[in-house]
Amino acid sequence: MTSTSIPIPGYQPTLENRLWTFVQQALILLLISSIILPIFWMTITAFKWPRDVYSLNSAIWFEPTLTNMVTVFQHPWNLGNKILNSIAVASGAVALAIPMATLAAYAFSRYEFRLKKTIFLTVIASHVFPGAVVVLHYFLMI
Amino acid sequence: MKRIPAYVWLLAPALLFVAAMALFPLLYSLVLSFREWKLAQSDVPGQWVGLDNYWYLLTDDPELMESLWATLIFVGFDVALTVLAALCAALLLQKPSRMSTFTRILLILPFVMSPALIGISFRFFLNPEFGILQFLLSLVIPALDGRIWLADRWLSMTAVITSDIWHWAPYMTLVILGGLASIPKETQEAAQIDGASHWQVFKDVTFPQLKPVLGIVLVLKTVFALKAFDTIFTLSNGGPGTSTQTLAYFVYHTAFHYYDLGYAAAAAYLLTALLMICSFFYLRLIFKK
Repeated sequence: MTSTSIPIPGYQPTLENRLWTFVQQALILLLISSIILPIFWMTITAFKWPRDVYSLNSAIWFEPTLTNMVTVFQHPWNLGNKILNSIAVASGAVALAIPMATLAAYAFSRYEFRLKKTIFLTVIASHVFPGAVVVLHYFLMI
Repeated sequence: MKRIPAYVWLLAPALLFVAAMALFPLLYSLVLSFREWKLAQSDVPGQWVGLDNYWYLLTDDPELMESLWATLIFVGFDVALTVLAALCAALLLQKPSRMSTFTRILLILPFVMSPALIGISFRFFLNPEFGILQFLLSLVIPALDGRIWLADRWLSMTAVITSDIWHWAPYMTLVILGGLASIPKETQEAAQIDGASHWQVFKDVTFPQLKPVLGIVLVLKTVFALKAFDTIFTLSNGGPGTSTQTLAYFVYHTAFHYYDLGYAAAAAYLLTALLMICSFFYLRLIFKK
């Protein structure tokens, strides 16, 4: 259970210890598979023909295809544009947020000023509000 | 003229941004929550109604009451199970071995996936005709065979909670692992040498030292569970009926399906009040350290 089992020279693990190790490893395997299997399933679905996607008979054995990879870049899906959009949003957000946060963090850590705690809490608290409260306004701005 | 101190310049960009993107919208929706504004009827805010939105919300809206129940169930089970699963997983993985290192790397995968993708995937896995999870589960639990997950109020809630646990528990495991690593090993060794069992070492030595981290994980997860929207939107869409419609979803639904902006703003402030209470505990935990 804890990592503190102290290695003792000539120590022979008892049956109980071995059983416990086995149970632990089985649980870790369970953990690994519960993370990997859904991702695995999403991934193989990307290589299936539509008829195999919507059928359990060809769940594991199916004729793989790369057509989806081509289709998704074509009209009306245009994944290429969407990837560019994502890159634009992500790099814009990083380019704005990191410099601003760095400057502010420097001010918070190196300077003493009035209302420091209040200002700090205001900045932090803006993260806690639900998107729904602010999104109304974004919606109206557009 | 007095010279402006450097920290003002350093803080200005961040504060201006926070003011424009968070504080202003917040105040704006506060104002909206005191007015009537049905977007279907008018494109400018209507008359002032004082506390009517809040009054109607709290006394005369069965949908909100159901939504509060759904929120309570969702947040309660979600937070408890996520933290419990994360704690168990962290205890399993803290012993260094090749397998646990590999698993630690895997843990970040669900967290970096988009919640919307997780919602859609779980919807796909649970499809009654070709859903792999539905198929496997009905092999293990025959009672589930032929049940349509997203058409049953409790199964649908289970699905929503499970998908959110899948999304968050691995990340929380990493956080708790960090907490476990910061506990001095000597304390556990000393207890072991004094003859404490594994369980006693955990209960009386590890757990008390882990409490601050667990507290932070608990409060943070509560905030995120209250805000959860993407997974619910893509997985169950609040349904069947309104059974998985949590407060965050309710706000969205009121604003963008009923186009009742004043009322939605009032509901949003109810949610904000809940979040403020959580944040208060969170900040107390942080500043106590």
